[in-house]
Amino acid sequence: MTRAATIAFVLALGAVAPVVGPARPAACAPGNPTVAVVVDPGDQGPTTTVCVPEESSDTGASVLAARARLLGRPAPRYASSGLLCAIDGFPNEGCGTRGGSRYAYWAYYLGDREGWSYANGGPAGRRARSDTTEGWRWHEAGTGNGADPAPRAASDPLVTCRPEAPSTTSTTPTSLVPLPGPSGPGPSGQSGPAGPPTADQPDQSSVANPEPQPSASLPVSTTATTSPADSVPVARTVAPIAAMDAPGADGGPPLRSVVGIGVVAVLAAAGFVVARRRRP
Amino acid sequence: MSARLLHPFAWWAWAGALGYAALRTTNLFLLSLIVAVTWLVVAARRPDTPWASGYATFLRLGLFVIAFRVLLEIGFGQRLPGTVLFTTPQLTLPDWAAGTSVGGPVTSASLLNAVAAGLQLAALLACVGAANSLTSPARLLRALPAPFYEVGLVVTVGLSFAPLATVGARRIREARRLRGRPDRGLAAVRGVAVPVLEGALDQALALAASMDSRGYGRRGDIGPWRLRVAALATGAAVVAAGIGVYGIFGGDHGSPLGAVALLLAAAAFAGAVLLMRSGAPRTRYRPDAWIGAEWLTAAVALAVAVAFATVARIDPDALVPPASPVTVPALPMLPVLALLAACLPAFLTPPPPAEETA
Repeated sequence: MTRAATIAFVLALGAVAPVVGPARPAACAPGNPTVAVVVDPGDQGPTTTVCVPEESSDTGASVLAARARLLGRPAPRYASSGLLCAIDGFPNEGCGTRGGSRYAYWAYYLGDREGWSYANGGPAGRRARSDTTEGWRWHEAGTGNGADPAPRAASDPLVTCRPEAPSTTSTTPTSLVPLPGPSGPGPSGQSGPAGPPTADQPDQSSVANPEPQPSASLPVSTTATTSPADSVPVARTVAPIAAMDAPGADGGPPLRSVVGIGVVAVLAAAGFVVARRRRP
Repeated sequence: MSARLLHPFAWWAWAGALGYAALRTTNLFLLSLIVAVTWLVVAARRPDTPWASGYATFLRLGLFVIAFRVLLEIGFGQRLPGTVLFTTPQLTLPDWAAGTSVGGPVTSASLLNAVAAGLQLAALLACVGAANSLTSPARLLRALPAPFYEVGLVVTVGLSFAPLATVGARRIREARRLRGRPDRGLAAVRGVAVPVLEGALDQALALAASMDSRGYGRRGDIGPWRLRVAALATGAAVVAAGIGVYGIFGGDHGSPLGAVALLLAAAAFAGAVLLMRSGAPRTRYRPDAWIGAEWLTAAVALAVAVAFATVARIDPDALVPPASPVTVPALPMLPVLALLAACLPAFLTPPPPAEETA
């Protein structure tokens, strides 16, 4: 009963959030559509639902990347085959690791009013639309086909992201929708790792408050973060990975490039010298 | 060290280990390092013979492979997410063609991924080219065990085809230049290609005929049943080796199938060798020695193979970095040191004789 209530509450927040969130000054004029992204990490943490501003050229992959930027988490990792390996830095390594006849992988689902359906194509080749929820669920021992259970969240994008109000309503005094000012952060405005998302950010007061607040603009809802204890696992799984991926954290990549290119160059130069010396 | 040619098996083991390493990684640093190692060793130890000049041809073929792979990626590749560099006109495909693409956004990740995949094949070609130019095909054939004699003969004729074609192409182009005809570009292709192919084939056949007349492939005193059993065992060994190589290089690295099949292949092959022992007597004239330098070359080959197999197990992301997001590839200590050790034959093996007499 209480759990259902909290879920309903959080889902309501998720529904309210997008109208606060996609503060994209350029595109906000005639109502800007959003794409709902649901990521269910299974036993690894709470489910997150995010509304990402939709652009005409968005694919499932770019929407997922935009979600990671919004949350300040590591970008999704892909293998060369185009298979998605990790979301939010999880799992740390490996890609669709096989154990027996099972696979540990992120399954891709498309959700609409009727429910979830297992996607039959990769996210990079699929156009993301506001009438379809992009769903991801981690399977520790999945079958790799549609028999794997779907994300545990609403499949209807209208539940996650409330439909855009007509442009006229945003100016009427009765509307709760705040006009995002030019100072509102865009999707890439969130720089650096933001802390673990908490559900109390887009609370009622910030919605009622017509002034856009940067912290309130994260259209995130996390279905398990109503109690502080539950939000700890998120911080534990995300924070160290985010710190590892932070640029310049260990001064490694530049040094590595210099050493790597240097070794190859030295060997190639040695080959040249030897070849020149042997030439009669 | 007195000048001599290394045992062909030593060079093939060395090149085979480097090729195994190339198949195991898509790391740009490691792949470039493999090509650089083959380049250095070939520059230092290739004999001055016509068949030794094939390495540059293999390198050029590798460059072509990389360019072709990049073009394929731009046209029909995986649309890997990342920074979009440019967009080619996209064809909208029906639903049943899901997973393929014709045109579309080209990202830095997909381009780098294509270069790495092309470089992997180019590194493999460099390894084969290095083995080809470091060893004499005739000497390799002499070292082959009896059951592989006929196969070895075919392979030798095939292997000598590419170097002979290279030599022939150079000669014919010189002849065309002397006569004032075009020797470069598309105009020259028709005039050069036909005589080159014909000449190389003729020479390969002449080589086979001369080997035949000198008693290559002669059977000794072996009964027909022993011969048949040996042939069966050889065939089984080849099939098992094919399964084993697939098991080791294929997608499923964890399964023991590959190793088991390779062991079976080795057992069947050893049986065939025992059955045919008296079948192909060899000359003892100027034997190819297997001494210190050969042991060193085989040891660094083993080190490279073990280093890559180990790192593939404990730190797979170092060998196969994620395609997206784009990162600077890792520089794993063990494989880099093993590849540097693979340069040692360039300095520690005897130099090739000034004039090849094999």
